[in-house]
Amino acid sequence: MSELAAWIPAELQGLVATRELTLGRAVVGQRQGSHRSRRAGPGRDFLEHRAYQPGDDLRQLDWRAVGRRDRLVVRRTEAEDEFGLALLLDTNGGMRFPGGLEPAQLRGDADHDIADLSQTKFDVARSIAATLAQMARRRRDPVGFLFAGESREISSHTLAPRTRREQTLAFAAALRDARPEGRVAWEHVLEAAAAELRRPCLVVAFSDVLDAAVPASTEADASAPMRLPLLEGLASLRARGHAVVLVHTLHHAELVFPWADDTVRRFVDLRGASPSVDGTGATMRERYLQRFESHLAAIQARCERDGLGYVRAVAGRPLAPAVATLLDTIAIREPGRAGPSSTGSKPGREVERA
Amino acid sequence: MSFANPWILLGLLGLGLPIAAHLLGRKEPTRIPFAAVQFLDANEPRVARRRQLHDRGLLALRLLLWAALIFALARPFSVEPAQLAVYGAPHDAVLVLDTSASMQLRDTSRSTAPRRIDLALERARELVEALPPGSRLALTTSDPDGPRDPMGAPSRGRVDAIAGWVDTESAPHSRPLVDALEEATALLGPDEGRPRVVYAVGDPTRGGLASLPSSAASGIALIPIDVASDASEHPLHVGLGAVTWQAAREVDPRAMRIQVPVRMQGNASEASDADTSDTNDAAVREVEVVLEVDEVEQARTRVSLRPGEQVEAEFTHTLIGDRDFARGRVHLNLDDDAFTPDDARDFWLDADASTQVVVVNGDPSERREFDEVYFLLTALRAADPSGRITVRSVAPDQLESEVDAATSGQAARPDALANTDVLVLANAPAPSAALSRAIEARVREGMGLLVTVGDRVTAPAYNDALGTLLPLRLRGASFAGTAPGRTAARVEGLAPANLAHPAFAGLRGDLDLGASRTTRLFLLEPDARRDVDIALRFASGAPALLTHEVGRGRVALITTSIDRDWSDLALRGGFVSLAERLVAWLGGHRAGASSAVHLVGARVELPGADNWMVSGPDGVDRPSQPAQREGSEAKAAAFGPLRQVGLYEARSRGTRGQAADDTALTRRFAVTVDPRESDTSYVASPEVELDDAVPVEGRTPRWRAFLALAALALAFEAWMRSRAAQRATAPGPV
Repeated sequence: MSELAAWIPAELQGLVATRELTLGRAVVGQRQGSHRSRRAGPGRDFLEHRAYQPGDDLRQLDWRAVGRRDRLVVRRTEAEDEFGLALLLDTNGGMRFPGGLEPAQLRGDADHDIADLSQTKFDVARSIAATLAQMARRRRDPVGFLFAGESREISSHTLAPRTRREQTLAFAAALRDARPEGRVAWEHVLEAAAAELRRPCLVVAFSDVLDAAVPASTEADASAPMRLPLLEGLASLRARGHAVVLVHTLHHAELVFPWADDTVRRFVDLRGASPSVDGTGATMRERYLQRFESHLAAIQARCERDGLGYVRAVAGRPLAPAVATLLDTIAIREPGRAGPSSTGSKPGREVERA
Repeated sequence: MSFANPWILLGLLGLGLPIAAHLLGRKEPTRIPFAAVQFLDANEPRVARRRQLHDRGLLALRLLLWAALIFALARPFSVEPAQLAVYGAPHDAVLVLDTSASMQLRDTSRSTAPRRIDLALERARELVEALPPGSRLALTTSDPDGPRDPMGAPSRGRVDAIAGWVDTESAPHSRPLVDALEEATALLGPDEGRPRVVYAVGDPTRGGLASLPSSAASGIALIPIDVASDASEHPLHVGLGAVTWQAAREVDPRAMRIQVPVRMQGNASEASDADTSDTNDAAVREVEVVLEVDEVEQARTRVSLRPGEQVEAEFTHTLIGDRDFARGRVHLNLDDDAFTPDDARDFWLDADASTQVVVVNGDPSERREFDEVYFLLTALRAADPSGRITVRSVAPDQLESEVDAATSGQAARPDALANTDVLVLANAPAPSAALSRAIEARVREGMGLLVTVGDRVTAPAYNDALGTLLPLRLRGASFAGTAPGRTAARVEGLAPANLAHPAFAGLRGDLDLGASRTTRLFLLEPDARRDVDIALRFASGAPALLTHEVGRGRVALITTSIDRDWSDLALRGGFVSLAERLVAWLGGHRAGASSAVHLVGARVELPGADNWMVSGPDGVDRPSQPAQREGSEAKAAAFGPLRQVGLYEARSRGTRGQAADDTALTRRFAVTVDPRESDTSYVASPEVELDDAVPVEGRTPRWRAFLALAALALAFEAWMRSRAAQRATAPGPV
């Protein structure tokens, strides 16, 4: 356990101790666990009364109900199953932001109370992922992980949730070694992920979702639909019965664009995908904020439409509220909506509390 | 290659400025690694412009332009053997600088081109530096009133002093360079055994180097230094000759006809080449000649000129207002001319036509039909009702005694003929020798002389006294129609007048003298050497009126009498016109213009012993100086030397406060550049070979090439800039 604890910041230690990672809906697990299962089985919570049929375990007869109804009635309880947690971490180069920049370079006029602006987006993703994994491990839930990187050869075998200690060690090692770089071929990643996740599980994806093919700057083009391959893939997973939550990992500087003066700066794309842009913050800021806001709104709208949970985690701001929201989002999902039988049913209501 | 102003090359450091400015301006901006770059606008144009080094070609071109300008300003020159030779041994030298008007010629018609005088000064500086150590040098100019720098150590400063004088005080005089040799040799001082050399720096013109002899004096070497580097550099230029004007009475009593020759000066060879070539139209140049009177433009005309060609421009002008005189100026309307001193000529227009005629009545008669003076007076009064012609009749001995008194200094009037415009010897006996000399002198100064014959005239005496003045020498009186074998007297009529004669200029129709009857006439000795105009002939062909110019004066001879003794000519209506025109022409001579025109450097003699105040073109009044007239003890006043070109007005001091047009006490004259100085055509100067002379290196300026390069770069830069501007405004690809 101590392998993961190293990646959990102090502010989240309390959450790990006090909160449980519970799903808001019944699950169907391979083994017994601590999550409410949709099937009847040994458990604490009442499920239903059913007329006795020959062959039923006599221990399950509910004698009080038999007395009231004057016929043999069997008491069925909800089983408790384990439930897999699949963590999908985006390691595109943009997750490195603001790597190398001094906090002073990131601090805007109104940012004097920001704690640690040097924290990268990947730091945030790593902290939350480690927290979730720790919480899952505590309940002996299997955990799988996948660091979606530049390479097209996806080693997705770690994504299938497992409870073995080796998996945890591998995860800890991967957290240590991961280096955000380049772009992510989301189509390939999610294709491999879909193949790996054979049983319904909770998929939590950490990404800044900046890989979208953003249209040109003209107004006409801005209104054109954007391609978001990550969200498309997550929607596909959701359709396969997985519970999917997107932790939208951003940085404070990306939200407020603190460079508002006349100094000429060169903005270099960390993913190496777009050409550098020279300009002064004074002339670029307003337009940037406008476009970035509309991008965020589009992502939220897509998540809501496709039944994906959406939580925003912002580097440079306190993490505990974001993780609490995330746990809430996972927990309040309506029961009985997951599983193969519910494929194609209306997804649960998503709550976004960024 | 060397530089005259090498410190200007420091300006090349300026080449780094635009590059440095660019490099400083494009300091690497702060680098911000960013994830959401796609939400930022593409490079904004303002920042992009500042960042990029645009149009490297244009920058290079501007750097080239700057460098070429710097090099041109640094005045590069190459050192080459000059056409200059100095004595190799230490010697005494005098440098004579030709400062005549022709040295104002520029090599090209551009006003920035150096004048020949500038080149001469440059040569003088080279020479000063080239003299062998131990040499001594004196400096002088061809200007008689110029500076004389006595013998001393050679130095550029001394030449610079002369250059300063040239810039401020030099006058466009016409003194030939040869005339300055005597002063130059005087500056050399006595022979001390050292070599003695006169260096004459001038232009290869008639009054310049070509006027020099092959040696200055015995034992003194003369080295001409030509400032025109080669014979091809003798540019064409357009100039005005001397202005002449005369009354145009047929137009108006106050009208005058102004004539000025316009000439394109150049080498005769070039001119003849241009005449014979088919493409000589290219050499034709049109120039505008403008007449101004009292500084107001009155007329302008255009003339076409070929090299070497002279065209006469003519204006007719009538004076208006009360004044009888006006300031005249003819100038060329030229933007560029290689030689400007002759592009304008000033002159006084004088409508005061009061002509003083003195008639020596050789045969006075109580019966007026036999008195020449009567007919002459009658004719002149009829033709001149305003009385501008005054006639004084004197007896022959009266005039002689006046002249005798004048030459001996007893009379109050210095010269009996001084104020006489036309002297008429009407059937007068031949004048005495003294009178003849006085008449000839006055005629050469501009007085008109009319001789009419009669019984008192004898051919030998006249030929002795006035033989040089008469158009043709007299042979003897003869009866008309006399021929071998015939003794009976017949009458002779007059043929139609030669209207081409200048005395009859503007006359319409004939003189109407064809009906006259002449019974006697004087025959003349033919002389092909004399330049004689025959204005009237008898029907037989014998000349009746001959004219001839002597000096600045004119002489006319009527070969019959003007009373009724020999002819009834005086009774004819045409005689009025003949007499008036003849007297006007004789009295007008070369008209007021040339009579009152002096060349730069001349001294003006003013009549009388009065003190005069002379107002020059600069408006400054200067007093005259007393002078002694040659051959006479009479006092006179003089003014000069005249160094400024323009119009002068002299007033006798005693007349201040009197009417300004009191011409008797006012003298007006113009000072002009000698028209001969306009002739800048190349004349070879004498070749001098000196065994002991060493050639000197000369500096050939090379800055023109850099200036041309700069101009080329400027033009190319303008073209590139306009092309870039067109590209910037053109719609870009969608």
